[in-house]
Amino acid sequence: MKGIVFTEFTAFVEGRAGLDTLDRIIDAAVGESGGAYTALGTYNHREMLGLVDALATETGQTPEALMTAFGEHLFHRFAEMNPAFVAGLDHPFPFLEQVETYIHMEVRKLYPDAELPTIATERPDAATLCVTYRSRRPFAALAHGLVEGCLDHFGAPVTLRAREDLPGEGPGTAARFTLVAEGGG
Amino acid sequence: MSEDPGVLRRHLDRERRARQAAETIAEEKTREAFQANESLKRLNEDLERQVAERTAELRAARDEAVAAQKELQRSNAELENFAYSVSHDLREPLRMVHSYLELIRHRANADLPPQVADYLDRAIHTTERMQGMVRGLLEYARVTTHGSPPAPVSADACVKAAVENLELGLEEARVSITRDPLPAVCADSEQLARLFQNLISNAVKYRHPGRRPAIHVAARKRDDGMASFRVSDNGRGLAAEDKERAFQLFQRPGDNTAIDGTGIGLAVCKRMVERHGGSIDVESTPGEGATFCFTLPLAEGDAAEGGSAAG
Repeated sequence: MKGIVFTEFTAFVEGRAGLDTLDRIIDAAVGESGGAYTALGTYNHREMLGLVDALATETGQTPEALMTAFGEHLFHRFAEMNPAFVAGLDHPFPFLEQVETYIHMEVRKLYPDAELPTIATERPDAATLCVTYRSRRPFAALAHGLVEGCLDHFGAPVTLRAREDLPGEGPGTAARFTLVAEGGG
Repeated sequence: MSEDPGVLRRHLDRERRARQAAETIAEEKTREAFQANESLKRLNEDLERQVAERTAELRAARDEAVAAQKELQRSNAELENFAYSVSHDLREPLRMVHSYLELIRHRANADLPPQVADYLDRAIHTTERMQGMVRGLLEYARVTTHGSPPAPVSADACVKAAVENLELGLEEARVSITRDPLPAVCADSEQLARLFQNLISNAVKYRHPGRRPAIHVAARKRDDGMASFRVSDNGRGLAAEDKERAFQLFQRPGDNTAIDGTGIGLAVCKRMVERHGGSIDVESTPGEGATFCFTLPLAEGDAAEGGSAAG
């Protein structure tokens, strides 16, 4: 998993719960990197799961809810850091439809070894967009948060009507999100 | 921000290690980028060298082809001049041979034994045939060496001139000649008349023994600035194997030894058409007739009208 996700996560925890909490969860998670994350690095995704679990223990919230909240925060940060990806768009549908063909392609140019999830989209009708997340890693909740962040970013009248967990390579590795636009897509 | 010195120290330590890790990664990336750049530079140099080599090869090949083409043109011109000189110079001695043979027959025919008189007739006939061939060769060589520059000319007038030249033969064979209105073309008028004359006399020569000969001349304007002519007859026609060699020098179709001819007329036609930038071909069904098709550039006024049929 790319280091940017870890540095954003530590900033997210520090910002929301303070440095003491961050220090404790890093200590509790006992990851092999010892919490010394850099955006340029690549780390085992299990470290992220360990950090979220430690944060859940610390706060009493579920890891699922925390990962989703972090995903929402992460979308806003990505949009700030990469304005070109959202420029010229005023609706979440076209943005989500180009994640696989444009954003992931650009990421692979910079990081040829990046192991990215697949994001497939389909429009059963003009007002509905189905986004299917599939990965070898269990980050469906993070994807959920990213979708929520996306809807919030564009501010368009679109609601996430359903999240359906799909059979995949393990729990949390595949999910379908059904988004519905009010008054047509 | 925490007030616990332990937390702050650990935080500082993590930040320091993260910075060191980032520096190491940045250094590796810089090295990788440098090496990739070096490889790219070498690849580029290699490609430039290959392009330069290939360009030099192509240039050499082109120069060679241009030199070969010039040599071929020179050699062709030399050969044409040679053919013209030879056929021209052969004419006179051949005429002398023919005259002396005629003289012998005229003065001594009554005294000659029948077999010798027969030999003499054969010699005279062969000499006449040879004179025909030399004349044909000379005409063939003259197409390129003595042609006039192409100019706008009425194809109608050329067909008319050809028919007038052949008048006696056509009347004798009771030939019916018809033609559609023909366009003006850019051609050597003498050669165009000769071309029609050769094709018409060829049609008469190879007429069907059981039919009154009928010849029709037609033409249409094409979009590419050329006129497409068709000279059709109802004669004996050509077998497929004869069609292929019909336009070669000294080639005569099938078993037609009884028909007088040198096998030069159609070769001359082809040379004339090609000299004008056109092409010639023949369509035929044996026993039903033949159609000689050839193209010539349209005269400017006619070409501008574009594509409309002339008849």
